[in-house]
Amino acid sequence: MKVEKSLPQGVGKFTPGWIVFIAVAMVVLIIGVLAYLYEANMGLIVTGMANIGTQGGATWGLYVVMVEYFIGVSLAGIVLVAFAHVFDIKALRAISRLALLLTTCSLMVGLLAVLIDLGTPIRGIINMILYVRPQSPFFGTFTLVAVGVLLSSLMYLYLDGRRDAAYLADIDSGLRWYHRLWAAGYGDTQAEQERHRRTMFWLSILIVPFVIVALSTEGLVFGIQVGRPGWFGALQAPDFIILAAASGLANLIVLTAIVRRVLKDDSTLIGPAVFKWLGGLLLAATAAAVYLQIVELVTMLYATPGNERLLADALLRGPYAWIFWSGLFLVVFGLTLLVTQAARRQWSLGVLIIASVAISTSVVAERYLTVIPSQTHGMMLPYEPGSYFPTWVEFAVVAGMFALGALLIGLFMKVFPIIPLDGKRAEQEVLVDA
Amino acid sequence: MRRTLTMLFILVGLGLMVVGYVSSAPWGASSVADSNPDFLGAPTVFIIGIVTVLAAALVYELLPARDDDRVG
Repeated sequence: MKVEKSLPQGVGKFTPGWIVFIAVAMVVLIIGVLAYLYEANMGLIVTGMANIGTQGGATWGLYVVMVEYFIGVSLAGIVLVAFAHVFDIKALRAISRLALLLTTCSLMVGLLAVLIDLGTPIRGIINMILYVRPQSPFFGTFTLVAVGVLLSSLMYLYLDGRRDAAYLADIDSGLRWYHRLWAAGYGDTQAEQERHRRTMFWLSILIVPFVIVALSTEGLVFGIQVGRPGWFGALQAPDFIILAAASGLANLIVLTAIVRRVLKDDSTLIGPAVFKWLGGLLLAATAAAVYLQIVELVTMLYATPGNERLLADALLRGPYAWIFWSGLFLVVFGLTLLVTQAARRQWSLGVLIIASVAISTSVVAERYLTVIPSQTHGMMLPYEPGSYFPTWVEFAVVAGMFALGALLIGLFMKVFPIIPLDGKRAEQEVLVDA
Repeated sequence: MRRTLTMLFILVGLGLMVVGYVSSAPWGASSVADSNPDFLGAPTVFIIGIVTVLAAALVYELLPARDDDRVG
């Protein structure tokens, strides 16, 4: 009898289902790239964006909505992993790599959305590194978020994977060189384990406040604009963080459920405790988000000055009412499902996924309502109310962004185990008759 | 050696962040003419500072040990 070791969790194995998934994602991505090239060639005229006031449009459209959404989604993963490290929550260990991957991919896609929105991205990047001013919240976006958070999540992902990479490097496979490179000489000695534990602990301590500060700048981009009704306010930054937590956790739940299904034999590695934790945290974040929405709504409706009133009417009864009420319905629906689950102390995966999809969709609606209406209906100058609706080009580019994120996650799962192996579990042996 | 280098990376990184931040645009300047950075590319210094601080974790963990039985 001969014993052979194979790569765990389907790494290096290209199943028909995975090939179809990659093919579909590639097609959508190519459509997105072609749409962007068309936009780059023809100019922003092919989008629904137009000047505020004079052209009755919005200069920040669906791309900026997606910047806010994707960067928001990135928050939960890294904070959750840092939280799990500091408080040694073993139940969340199984999804730590998945959470970091979600953070990294959504950040990459979110930052790509910033560049796509710029129109002339190269000029934007050059001017940013030469002139960006710390007085502008964009300074935070371009430095703390684009470099700091992205780099720290990549580093976290890399360092946390070295032990598994060292194990995989011992298995004879076509990916051996890659796993050796990742392991970078890791030998799993006691000293290395201790160093790794220390690094992860201090990195986690550093990352939580760093990420909160960095991502708050996304809310401040809107919150400090005095001349724009609907944007100016102290709640924008905390609101961004809370919604980010809700959308990030919701996406993580859906992604975890998908990965669990895809892994088949290894699905037991993601136990019910993981979903119980994620469900509880999503419940807390969503409840806080609903509370903030109510506070904002009450403030908006109480003795509102003229310009704010126009905006409130547009949101509650005007052209944005269907988005506002749909978003509110979805978040309340999702919250109700979560409360019901928590009250029963039983977390059904199906119900959790429905609640997560509802909450994530409501966050997209909320981001849309944060970015757009204040430009079309939040004017201090005597312009007529404007309008904005994305064109097929913008929808195609955004679909391409989602496809890119899915593609990155799908590809990663074929080169590295998505669930940490943690030593003993790594041993997956296939017995073959000699 | 490992700790010294790690601390060096953190301190140099923090220093670069401070220099990059305060040089990116003068705080409290009342004229728009003062809105340019003190030197071209000052924001990049801030970014390099962030990278250096974070790289300290890599230095601490990746630096080869002379004697692996020692922790530190």
